[in-house]
Amino acid sequence: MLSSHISRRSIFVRQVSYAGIVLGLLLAGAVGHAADRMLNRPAPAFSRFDLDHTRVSLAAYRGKVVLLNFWATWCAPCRLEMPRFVEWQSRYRGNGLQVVGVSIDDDDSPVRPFVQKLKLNYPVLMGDARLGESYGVLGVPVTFLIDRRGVIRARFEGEADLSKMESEIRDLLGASAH
Amino acid sequence: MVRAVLFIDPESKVRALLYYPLSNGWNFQEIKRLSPGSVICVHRNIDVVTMTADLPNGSFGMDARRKPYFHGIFVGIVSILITTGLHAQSSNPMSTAVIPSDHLVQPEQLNHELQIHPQGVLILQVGSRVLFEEAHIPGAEYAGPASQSEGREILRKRVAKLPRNRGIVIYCGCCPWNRCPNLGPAWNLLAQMGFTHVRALYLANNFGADWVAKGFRAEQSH
Repeated sequence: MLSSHISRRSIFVRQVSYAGIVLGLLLAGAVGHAADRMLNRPAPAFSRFDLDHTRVSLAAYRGKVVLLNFWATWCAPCRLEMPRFVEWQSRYRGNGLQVVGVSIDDDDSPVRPFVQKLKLNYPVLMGDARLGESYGVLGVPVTFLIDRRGVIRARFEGEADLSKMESEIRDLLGASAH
Repeated sequence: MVRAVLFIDPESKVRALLYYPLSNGWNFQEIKRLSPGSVICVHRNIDVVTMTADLPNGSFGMDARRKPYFHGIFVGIVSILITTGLHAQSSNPMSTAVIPSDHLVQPEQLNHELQIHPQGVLILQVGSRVLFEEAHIPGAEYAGPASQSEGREILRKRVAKLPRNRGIVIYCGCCPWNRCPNLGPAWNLLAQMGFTHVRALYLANNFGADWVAKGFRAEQSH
């Protein structure tokens, strides 16, 4: 009697554990590996107001190569690479590059002075969980390179190889950028 | 084995590092020279300050670009022994360096504990609210980005009435472990408040890569 009770209970615990693992895997599939599956697929559309209250829509940049950078003011690797983005925005603007920054700070109060201090020459908008989820962003920095047709061609996470990133940008921009 | 003194400013930035072989004693004159009211200036708007050694007491170096400000004060001096294994990491100052290695918990271990006792430990996320809303450990609570004073206040209030021997796991996972700005300040705050059973979840890269992608359960709150 007791052994059968324990047996039923252990089976139940095992089933619950399996259910938990399946749920975890499902969520992992939803957000963790989303990034890998996103390569060579259309970039999720979004439309938000930037810090200057101008509407930023990804669709409006069709025809340009978009560098979409998720960052935060407290993120040291983010702060290291952003001056390069400023430089690239200036250098490759005429070739069709558009950098877009998405801050995942809790609010814009530390973001505004930071944007001014770094003299960011591209739009910065405040991110949210829905936008982060749609791009599978669960840590920063993460940078996507989106081609002129709106397809994600590259994803860089953590302390990225900026030389490699610039090289890929040049490739996407075409011969005119070389 | 080396011994080290780290000067950490109110924004949790490491401002000075002194390393000695374990066999050598401290140079307390040098530590005093670097300490508050002595020579080093800490001000958030100053990036470059020159501080010549062997100046008489009360003499200051000069900011290379501005007039000198000397009202900044370090809030703490952290003296720690670092094993040679950690020495390689310590060459890149990081806030997580203040957390003793025996107070780290690996994702696999915490996931195992949660399967056995889902409510057995208080889990506090001390990083980004956006990332928390997107995905967090089931049962975890958002406790503010500890790198910011507002975040530390949220954490302080959350734990203020808890018994000091309460088991707490803090985690962030906003960015690579040695770049995380939040865990060190959160650890320091809880230590200052007298908490004795605090562990930090070691996420080498970020929460997505080291928790969610491993298939461990996560939940959303948006």
